[in-house]
Amino acid sequence: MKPGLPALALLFTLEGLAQGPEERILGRGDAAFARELYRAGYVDLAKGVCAAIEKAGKASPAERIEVRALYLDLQLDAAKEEADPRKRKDLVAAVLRGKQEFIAANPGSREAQEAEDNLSDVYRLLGEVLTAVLQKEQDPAAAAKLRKEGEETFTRAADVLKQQVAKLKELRDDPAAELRYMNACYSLPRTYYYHSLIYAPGDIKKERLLEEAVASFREFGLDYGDRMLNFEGLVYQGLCHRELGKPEEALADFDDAIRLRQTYEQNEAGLFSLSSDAADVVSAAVLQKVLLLKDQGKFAEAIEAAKDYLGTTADPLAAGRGLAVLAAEADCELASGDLTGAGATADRLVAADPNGVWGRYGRELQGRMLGGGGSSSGADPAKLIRVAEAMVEGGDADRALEICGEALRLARGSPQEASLGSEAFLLIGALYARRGWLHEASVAFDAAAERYPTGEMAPEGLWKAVLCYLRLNGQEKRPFYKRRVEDRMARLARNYPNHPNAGYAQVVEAKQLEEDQEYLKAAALYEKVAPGSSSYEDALLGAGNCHFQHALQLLQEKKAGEAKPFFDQAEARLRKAAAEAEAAAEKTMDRDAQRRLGDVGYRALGTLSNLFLQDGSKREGEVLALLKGADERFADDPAKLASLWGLRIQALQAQGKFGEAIDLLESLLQKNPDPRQVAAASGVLARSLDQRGQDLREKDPKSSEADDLWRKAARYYEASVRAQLKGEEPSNASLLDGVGTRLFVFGLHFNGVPEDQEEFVGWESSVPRAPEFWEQAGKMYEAALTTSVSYKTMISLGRTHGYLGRWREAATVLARLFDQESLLNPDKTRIQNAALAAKPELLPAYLEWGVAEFQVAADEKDQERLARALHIFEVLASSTGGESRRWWHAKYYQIQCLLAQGEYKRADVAVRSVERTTEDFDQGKFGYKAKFLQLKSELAKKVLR
Amino acid sequence: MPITSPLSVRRALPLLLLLSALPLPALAQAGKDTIRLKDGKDQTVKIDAEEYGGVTFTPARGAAATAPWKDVQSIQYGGAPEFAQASAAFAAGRLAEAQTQFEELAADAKLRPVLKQHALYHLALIHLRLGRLEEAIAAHENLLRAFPKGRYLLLAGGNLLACHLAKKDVEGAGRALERFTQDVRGAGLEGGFEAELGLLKARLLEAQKKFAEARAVYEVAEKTGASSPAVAQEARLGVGRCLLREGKGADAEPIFRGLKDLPDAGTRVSAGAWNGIGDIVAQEGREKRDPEKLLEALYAYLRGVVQYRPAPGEPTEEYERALAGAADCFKFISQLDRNPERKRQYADRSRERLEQLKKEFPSSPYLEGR
Repeated sequence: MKPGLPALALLFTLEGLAQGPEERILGRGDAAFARELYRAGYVDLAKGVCAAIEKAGKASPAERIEVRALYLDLQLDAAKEEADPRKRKDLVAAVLRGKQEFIAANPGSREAQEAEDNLSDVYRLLGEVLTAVLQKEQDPAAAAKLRKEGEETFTRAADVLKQQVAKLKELRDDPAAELRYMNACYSLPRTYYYHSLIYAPGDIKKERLLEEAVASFREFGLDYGDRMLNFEGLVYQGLCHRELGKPEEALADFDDAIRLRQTYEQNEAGLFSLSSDAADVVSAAVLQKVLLLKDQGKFAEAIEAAKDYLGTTADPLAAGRGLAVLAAEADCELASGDLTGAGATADRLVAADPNGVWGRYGRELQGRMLGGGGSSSGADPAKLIRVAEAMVEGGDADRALEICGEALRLARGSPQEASLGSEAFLLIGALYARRGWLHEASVAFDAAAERYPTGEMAPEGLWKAVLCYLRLNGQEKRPFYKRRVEDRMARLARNYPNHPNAGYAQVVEAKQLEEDQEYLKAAALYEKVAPGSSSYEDALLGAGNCHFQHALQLLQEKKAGEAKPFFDQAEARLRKAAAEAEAAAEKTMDRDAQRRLGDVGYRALGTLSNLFLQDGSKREGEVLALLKGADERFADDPAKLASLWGLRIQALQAQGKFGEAIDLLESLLQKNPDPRQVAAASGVLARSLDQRGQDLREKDPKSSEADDLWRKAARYYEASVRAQLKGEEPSNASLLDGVGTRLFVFGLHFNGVPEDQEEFVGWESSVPRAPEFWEQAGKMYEAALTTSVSYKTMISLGRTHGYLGRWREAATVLARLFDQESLLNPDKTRIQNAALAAKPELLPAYLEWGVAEFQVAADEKDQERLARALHIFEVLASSTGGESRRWWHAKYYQIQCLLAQGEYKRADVAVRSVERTTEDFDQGKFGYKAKFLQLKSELAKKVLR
Repeated sequence: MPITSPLSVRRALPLLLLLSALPLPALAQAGKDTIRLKDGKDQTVKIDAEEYGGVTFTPARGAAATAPWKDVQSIQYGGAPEFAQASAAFAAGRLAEAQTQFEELAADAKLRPVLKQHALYHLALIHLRLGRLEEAIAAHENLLRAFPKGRYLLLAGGNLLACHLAKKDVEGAGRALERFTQDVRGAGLEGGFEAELGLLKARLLEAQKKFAEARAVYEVAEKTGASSPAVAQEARLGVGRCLLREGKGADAEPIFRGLKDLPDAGTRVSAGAWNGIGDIVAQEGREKRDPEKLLEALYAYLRGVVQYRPAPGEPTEEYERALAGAADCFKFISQLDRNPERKRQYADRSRERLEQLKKEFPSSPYLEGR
């Protein structure tokens, strides 16, 4: 456990926030406190304190400098988390600029000095990410540009470090200056190493830099051999030797670094008890050793090195690269054909980091081991089902489906076929149900029982099929589903009388009536279920729901007086259902029964809350009391917790306590819970703020209050889908698309895009002033596209990139879109009317694709792209109406393409043709008259007549 | 004595030390393979060859043996991690990645022939899945040249036929089948390959819409392939399909219903039988404008999507047909429904299934005209 966490966390509890966070948290030395939190690893808490300091507005100038410095470090951390290397590069570059400005603005301050000392780390990060981007870059021109950027960055970094070394050398008598000198001496060769990575193997520049780095690290070792930094330096030295093609020397360097552990004592079990810094260094050295040996094909030695570290270090996986060492061991085992060993190591990786990146890698390894050829190499169908379950957790539903299929094939003919088969189909059904494909889910659940009637999970399959058909019938009201419900229920009762849900026939009948909105008849049937029956609590809940629904119907018919007794009856039954379910859950050890009863209790609380939230009930204030203790009760179910928080916030909103609702959500966010737990609450609040903002804007289009509401809404919208963006929850494409679209709209507003502007073409702003809305929208669209290939979402993503001026990304997405959408006729010369009638959104997207291609082509002098863009504009110009805005866009860019190709005569003819065939161009209607006149005058200088 | 840390505030340890994704080194070529026969027991063996007639292997002790394919449950190849990765990429639908990996394997002169055969087959299949028909034809021909008696012989012949038919080149398909038939007959194979060749011939006739002739050939194949239940079932399915196309749905239906209940039928036959039932019931539903019937048809097609999904590398025609049939049923129900919300919901469902078909099989013949 991290030191002091409980005490720190207490500061952010709900009760404590009642008087406003800043008053409660702040005292003396707040900025220093925030820095300490950050150093201790409590990044979110540090952010919270910084926010509170800023909000309170009482910080001294010195504190403001401290907070600014800390913010820059926080931004750097956030940049490191960015998965897209190109975006990461831009973010790190922005932090670098920020730090340089900060140093210049605050000369002589301690924070500026620290920032200066650590600037080389930022350069290193920038270098690393530049290298990563370079390695992926296919386009030689873009690679050359990146290499130049890297060269300038590293040269500047080395110059700064050399100056520091020279300056500090004279001050080494001062211990503080000596430390700074050591740090600079260490950073210089490290910078050389990263600089070398931007060059191809064999490049003389690369070799020179690496040799210089090795010489400097050696010199550093002579001066500071007993310091931790020296051991880190040895790891880099090894990497330099590896790059120089001297693997034996590299291995010796890594071994020297690993010897750091020998300076620590061994505990009673003979394990090295390393400090956390030392464990990080040793694990990094071991990792590099293992990777190098693996690269040499020395798998046995690599595995031995990994096992040696893992077997002789106390808590080896907690070290910085501990899990990476374990993953590398699994890789080597797999590469050497030791599938058993690789399987066990992958299992260990998954167990050690179930929700993290290494756990995902472990599952990927497990998945990799499943592709043995004519049939699976996993060979154990039971294990395959576990792997499929793990993949579901990791969000890879498609792969999970494949693996379930493989498990079914392997189980065929085995004694466990029925048991494993029914289990596999249950999982397949659950996968489809999660996707919302209930028809497919019901087929899978049916198959669990039909194909494997003797399987353990067969009755559960039947029951789940019943639930699917019930839901479908609820949505569609079709006799087909009703017949299937009755049939499956009868089979459950007849073939599996001991199944806990077999006695639910009465409840199911009532559910059918409920689905048919025959609420009173359904309630009467529910109430016939006697106490002691396995479905008693469900029946109470059903009766409560039905009375509630009937009361709502009466309310809609403006019969409030008649509704009242039904609300009362609903409340009584729902309270009883919640109490009985809680009591029954305490009396049983059966986990399935506990889960079912927990679900009854949760749903009863939810419906009761909704009852209190009814317009005119004036009982909103009771919701918070009703839900007291619910967080503890449903602590292991993030979805339930999320929904309960949503209800609390709704209740506060309904009472007009909007500020309190925000504070409540803020407290939830501050406590840094699982993002899944804040999703529903954030979504409720975001939508409400969004709507209020829209209402205000209708009255006053320039309302600043509406702006504030939308800014807050944007923040909560992001929180509502954060778990999905992080991959901690399956992606809900329609939700992500919907939220992304709201943020996109906010972006249009805050960046001053005119109301009638749809596509980005024609919006002329060099740099958006509020890019953050579009950046977030882009992430959401990208996440949505991982599960759905909606053409509309692709258009939105391409457009978002376009508004952000990310032409290459826009062109890539839109090219993919038109790769799968047939917009043109077979000879690719005109737009097909039928295609356009079916999907009119494709027209503006096609224009946007052309402009994105043109912009990339212009930046990178790419003739192929230019030709592609020209073709798009030619098609558009010949397919769209002569006087439309899009025709003018297309025509203008068509001529721009010709200019860029150096086809001045053709461009001149085109401009004159437009002049001849129109009346004074567009007469300024779309802003093109001036542009065409400008083109005409430019061309007059280039074309001799 | 622990060493003191230098200065630096939350100094980012330089530990992002390049977990480099370097290419894996050359394979350990010889490994221990594992074979599991239908008795459920694993044996550690060396797989010597995989041919049309069965798999030949040498156990740790004892003489080499050959097991017919019907007796083989699974095979695991030892010391073949790149092959495992390529197969996993293929199974996961990452076809571009799988192609690169299989190409590297196929180009490795030291690769075991057993694995080379898999690599060539999967490469051919990838081209076919991606609609690169000329490349697919060349790749299948390459496979057949390299392994004229190989385990994939008849599947490759079927795929070759499918490539030509997808090109709408019936004559080319005929020539290819003729050449293939000669090669197979000349290869000195044992077993009932004539019945399987009959299936291919009938498929060609079926593609030419000569349903009565095709049916007659299927019927012969069913009789001559009686010793192989899989071939006989496949032929019976063909008979049902032809009857349906001849407008004799009433005669076809009992055939489909009989096949769907066979416990030992392969996934392709089961899915095909359910698709046949789906076609019959959907037709009825459309004629009577009856959403209940269309739902029944939908559930028949969904069997082929959910319950009888093909294994990676197996023919996917029935699966594609099932996805397309399900999408059609959703669309028809949407067209009949008067409730705007349900209408939209069903139209969305239809679109989602079509998008899935497009995503998994971008060149599927069932996407034509959609």
